[in-house]
Amino acid sequence: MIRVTGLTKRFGDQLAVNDLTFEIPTGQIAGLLGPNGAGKTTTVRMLSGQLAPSSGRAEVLGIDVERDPLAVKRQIGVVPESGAVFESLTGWEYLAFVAALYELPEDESGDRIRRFGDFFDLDEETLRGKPLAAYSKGMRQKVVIAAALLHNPKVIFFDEPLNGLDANAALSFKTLITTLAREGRTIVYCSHILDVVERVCERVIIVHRGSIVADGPVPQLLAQTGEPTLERVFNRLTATENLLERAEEFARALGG
Amino acid sequence: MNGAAGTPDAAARDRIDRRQLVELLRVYLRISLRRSTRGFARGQGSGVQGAAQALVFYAVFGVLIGIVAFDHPDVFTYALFMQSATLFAVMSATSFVATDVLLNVEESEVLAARPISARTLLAAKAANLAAFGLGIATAINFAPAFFGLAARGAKPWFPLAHWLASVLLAVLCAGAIVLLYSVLMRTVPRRGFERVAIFAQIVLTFGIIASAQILPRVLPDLERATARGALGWIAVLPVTWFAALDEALGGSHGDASMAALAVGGCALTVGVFVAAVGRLAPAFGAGLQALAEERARPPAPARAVGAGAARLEPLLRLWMRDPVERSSFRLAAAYMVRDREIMMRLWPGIAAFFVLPLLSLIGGPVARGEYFAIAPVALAFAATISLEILESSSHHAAADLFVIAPLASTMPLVHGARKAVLTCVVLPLALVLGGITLLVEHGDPSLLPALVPGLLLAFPCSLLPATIARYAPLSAPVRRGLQETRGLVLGISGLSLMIPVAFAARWAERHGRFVAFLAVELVVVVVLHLVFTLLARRRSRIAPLEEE
Repeated sequence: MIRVTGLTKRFGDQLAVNDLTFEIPTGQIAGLLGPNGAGKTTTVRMLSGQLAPSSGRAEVLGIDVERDPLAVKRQIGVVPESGAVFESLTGWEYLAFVAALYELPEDESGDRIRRFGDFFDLDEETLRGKPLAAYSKGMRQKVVIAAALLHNPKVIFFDEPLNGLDANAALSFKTLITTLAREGRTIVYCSHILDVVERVCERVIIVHRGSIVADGPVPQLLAQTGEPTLERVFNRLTATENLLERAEEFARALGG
Repeated sequence: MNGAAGTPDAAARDRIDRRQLVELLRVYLRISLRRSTRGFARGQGSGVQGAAQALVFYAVFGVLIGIVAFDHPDVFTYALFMQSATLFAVMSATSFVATDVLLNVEESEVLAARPISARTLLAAKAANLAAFGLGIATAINFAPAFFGLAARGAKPWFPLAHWLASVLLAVLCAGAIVLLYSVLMRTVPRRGFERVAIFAQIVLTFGIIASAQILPRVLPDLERATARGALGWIAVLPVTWFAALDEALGGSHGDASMAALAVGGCALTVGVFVAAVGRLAPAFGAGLQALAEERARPPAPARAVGAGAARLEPLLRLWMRDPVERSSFRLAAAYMVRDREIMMRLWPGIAAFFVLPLLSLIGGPVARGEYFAIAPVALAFAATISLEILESSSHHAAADLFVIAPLASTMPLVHGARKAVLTCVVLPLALVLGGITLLVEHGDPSLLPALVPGLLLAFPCSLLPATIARYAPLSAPVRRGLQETRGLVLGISGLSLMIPVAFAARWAERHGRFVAFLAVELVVVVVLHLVFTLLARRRSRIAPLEEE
């Protein structure tokens, strides 16, 4: 489980995350939503021990993240938005390297890499033979996801995990995370693809300008705002102008 | 790593994880020997090839220096000579790659969320730097270790003793650089750390080159001093301690003072490594986290950054009619003054070209000729090396734009980038050099004409990287490890072009024919420019690739 109390991050005089307080119980898939620059990635980086908070406290699985980031990192998996990998390594080498960092025995890590390869339709020949630089974006994203799950983490942070995945892989992935949650993993899911969030997440936290503006199950948010979809709820809570008017004005300007 | 380090207190509790250390080293080695094949620069040679070229270059460098052994100096003098050359080469190359190894942005993206302690990560980075230095030290000393058997008093196992001493010296160089960065991370405020690191690296380069000038000046008296058993002030130089190790292990005249100096060298190496990796690891971890926070900070408003450039726009339009060329100029100029990663490679990388002419001023009237020879080479080199450095960037994937855009050739990109280098690097370098020369010479402007041949030569030399392979700014992955020194190797190979100009400039100045020399040089420069443009054009075609 994740417990966040008054979590705040300042970069100089800029307030990136402001006094966040929430709890995500074990086995829940929580969507963390917000427009660009709202503070989602900064929050994930603080919760995963990558960034120290300016104030407040975050606990993951009962461990204070600021006090013992390494203990937290051993228990969690992170799919970063950047999808960064060591491109000069082959997929297999990269995954074996990640497995070693989590102290998985070599024979076990080999088995797990094979299983992830099968699940994501990555054949062993490609995994072993080609450097990641030669993979398509979707193939690389599969490797990034596999690298986050290889050590069987109890808490998983996904930041735009569907980047580059084709429809079949995306469907497999959505099934996978609901299964993982059912088996007791806690999942934080950041995405701009709201219809996926609506279908996958049991609960949604919407962040705007560093602060929480909505928190609850999707049906509850729909009922509270009277909007028909999560997309409209999101737009109502975070957009400052009428989108349709803006789009029409822009199209007119573009046409000369 | 940024967060991998965690808080200093937490990191201090963590020991080095041996398995992680081995895995990290293995990955660093693989990365340094492979070249990314993605994007615009695909298919331009392998990493192993680049590394091999660099090693061959260093081996040849070593042979040229090691020949001195056949003049039969005593073991200590020969070792001092070789270890000085090793120190110069290893320290220059190691400091050149240090920012990439220690503060790598891409790596932090991959490793930030992994459970790696600051101490393990720093140990892996230090070992990586040490292995890099070790490769160079071994290449330089491979032949000279055997040549050393010709030195007076050398025992049959001298090659082994010399190799061991040079290995320790390489390890000391790596440790010293890690220590420098760790101290900086501990003492410098978070904001502006990278600018301070750039400055520190430039100062380090100054120091290395300046210290390399010491030995040639003391060599004539050295053998007399060692014969008297009085080393004097030379005894305080670390390089002397490693030469003493050579003498103690592989020579016949090692006495107690030599043994003491040798022990001093070993103790210094261990001490520096323990201080860097042991004591300062938490500070390093906290510093990396601070850098990550700097990166996470929202960027400055675009208007503030681009305001100066907008004022120059009319001038650019006059100089460059082609809008693609102007865009390439703006892109290259922006990266040279704004992008942290490029800045950390570029400015320390060209610091040597700033120092060398200034050092030649120290020697008094005799050095006047040296200044006339070195200044042109320095300015021309600065142009070549800057272009070479500017070719690679961690944002190289964005160079796919050059393939997507309707461009038939990279030539406008080449011209834009080289004009940016001439404007932002070569011209300011000449102005600052001129200013300092005036100061040192008490307002006497008679040395200033020495800068003109360099400014002229910089025009064709800025085309050199494009004559070797298809060139576009920021289009190649950042080279790692030994490949990173390819720029230095390319530049030094380019000396064949620059040295004749340097000698001719020196001769012309001595014989009062400098104006005539400039006229001849101008003709040569125009011809070279035409030839290099033709060569570059042949490599510049952008065509659909036949295979991925």
